[in-house]
Amino acid sequence: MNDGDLMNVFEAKHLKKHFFAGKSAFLGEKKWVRAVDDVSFKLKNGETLGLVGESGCGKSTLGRTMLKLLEPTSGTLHFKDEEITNKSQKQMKPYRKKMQMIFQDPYASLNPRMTIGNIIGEPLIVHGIVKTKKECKDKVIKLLEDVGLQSNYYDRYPSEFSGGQRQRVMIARVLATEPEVVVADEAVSALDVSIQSQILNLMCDLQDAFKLSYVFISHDLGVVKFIADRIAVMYLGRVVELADSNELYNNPLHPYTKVLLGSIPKLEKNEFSTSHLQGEIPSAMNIPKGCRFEPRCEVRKKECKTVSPELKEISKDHYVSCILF
Amino acid sequence: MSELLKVKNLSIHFNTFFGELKAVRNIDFDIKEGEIVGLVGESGCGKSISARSILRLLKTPPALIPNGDFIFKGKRLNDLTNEGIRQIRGNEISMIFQEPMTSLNPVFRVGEQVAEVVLTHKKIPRKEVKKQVIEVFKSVGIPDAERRYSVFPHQLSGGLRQRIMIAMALISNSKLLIADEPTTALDVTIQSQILKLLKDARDGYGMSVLLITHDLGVISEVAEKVYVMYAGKIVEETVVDELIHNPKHPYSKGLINSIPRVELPHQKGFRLNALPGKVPELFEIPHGCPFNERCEKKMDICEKQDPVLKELNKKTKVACWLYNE
Repeated sequence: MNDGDLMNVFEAKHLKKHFFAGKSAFLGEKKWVRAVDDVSFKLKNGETLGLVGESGCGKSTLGRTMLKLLEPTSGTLHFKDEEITNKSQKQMKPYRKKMQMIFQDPYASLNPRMTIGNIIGEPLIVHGIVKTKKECKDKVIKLLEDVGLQSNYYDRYPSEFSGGQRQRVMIARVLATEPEVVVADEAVSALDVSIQSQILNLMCDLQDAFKLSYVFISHDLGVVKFIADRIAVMYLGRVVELADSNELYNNPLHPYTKVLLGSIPKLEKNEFSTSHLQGEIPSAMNIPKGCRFEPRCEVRKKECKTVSPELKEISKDHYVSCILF
Repeated sequence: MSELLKVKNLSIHFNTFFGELKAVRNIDFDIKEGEIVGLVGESGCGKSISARSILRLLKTPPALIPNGDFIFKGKRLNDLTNEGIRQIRGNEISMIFQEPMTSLNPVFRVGEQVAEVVLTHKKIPRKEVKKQVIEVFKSVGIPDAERRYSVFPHQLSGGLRQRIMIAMALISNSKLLIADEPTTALDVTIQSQILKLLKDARDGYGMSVLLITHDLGVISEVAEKVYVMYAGKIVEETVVDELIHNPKHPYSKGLINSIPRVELPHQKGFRLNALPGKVPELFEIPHGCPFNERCEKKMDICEKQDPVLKELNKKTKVACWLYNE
């Protein structure tokens, strides 16, 4: 591995995204949904970073904010050495090419009135990657083959395809601009088990072939473990634990990570022995003071009500935010 | 354990633009008292409509049930009038669905909706019923049960709504609960709470559960017996441990192998054993065994004749020519 491989391809520092949620009836105080609240992470070249958490924890908002599909409230974003936080939409264009996104629902993310060829060809034209129509078609056909589709699908419409095939089309479109960072937001969640494994394998193959770095957002902990090298566990807008996949699953430290991993239905089991988390995730509008997980935590202490723990490195590359550590 | 429900030789067809689709073809299944039975398969395999047909919840037409007997506690449900099946529905057999928002009426208070179940089938004073409802709410783990009696469904989270649905089944002392993907829309932590609740309902009330899901992890957590469906047919009937550790039908094997397992360590370069191809559409089911196009061990006979479900040993029945000697 040379130095180039070790470089961070993307970095977010103290990233926040708050949504305005109206004024309260009393005193007209402004209310905010703190969807992403002070998140910092680095994405290394060629790695897959998994983002897991329950619904409403801010993982999708984080994915969109890091690509500036949503304007960050505060914090900084770096693509390689360049800061992109304050770039305008126009200035973002060259970076858009390098950072792409795969969405969950392949039925909603493909325009039903465009042919597959036009869908995949559009980014090529927008970014001026191809000069002639002929060149565009050749490139699209090459991309179709890369993702395991037949080249004669070029003139067909999305409605003719199944969910798995549509997700392949999505991936081909993403690859068209030769990106370096791909954010996959629940990319396989809508697919059947047998198709899901095909798409996961494809994503791994393409990562090797095109030197991609993934941010893989999912609620499915089995899928994340398979694909991600490092995993960040999110809870109510914060990263509560960040570690290598195997380290995280073998040695989870944060109480939330422990119950989250304990709740996974496993194929191998002896007893119905999983731990059960009490209650549900609070609303991001009234986040508990102190530690966010405190109301549901089984090992909470008095201080947890007031002290908000920082994300600290406990052992090498293993970060936890809990006052127990 | 005596037999509670027996479904014999059930077929369900749909009249559509493409002609008559055979969505379910000659399946048999049975549920014993106090047993949790899983029905697994990918989308479109016919698992949901088979379950719905028990309670006559399919709209006919377009659905047609050319043959099939439902025997519940020794009584033939087919002989009942629509009024007769109404007496069974929600009383002796209850059903919960995937999306608990759509199964609760948004304009009625949840407590009253649960009370209605009792009031429809029994003559008890309202005050008495309210007490019962609050009692059941407590037993399914709804915090603050008195207050929750008079809230509307939109004020509750998905997990709580699913608990309300389960409360409905418990309050009428149903003998059988049909749960159609009850946890698919929920987070893993909430899923494990609901699965535990289903187990408790069985242990405490002796309720049998027919659990329909695509998630083999869920099946292995709670079910004892399992039926694997593929393209409208039951391809394997076995106990859960056998299915996980010693699946017989090539489809069951493929399904088990394609799941990204949480127990296995993450490895760069590791690929899943994905099943090739996709589930056939109902109008293009191949001749012979419906799985033959995706099967690794395909033989000549597989294209000619559809195998029937045959007893392999005491625990397992399988529909595959590999085991037909």
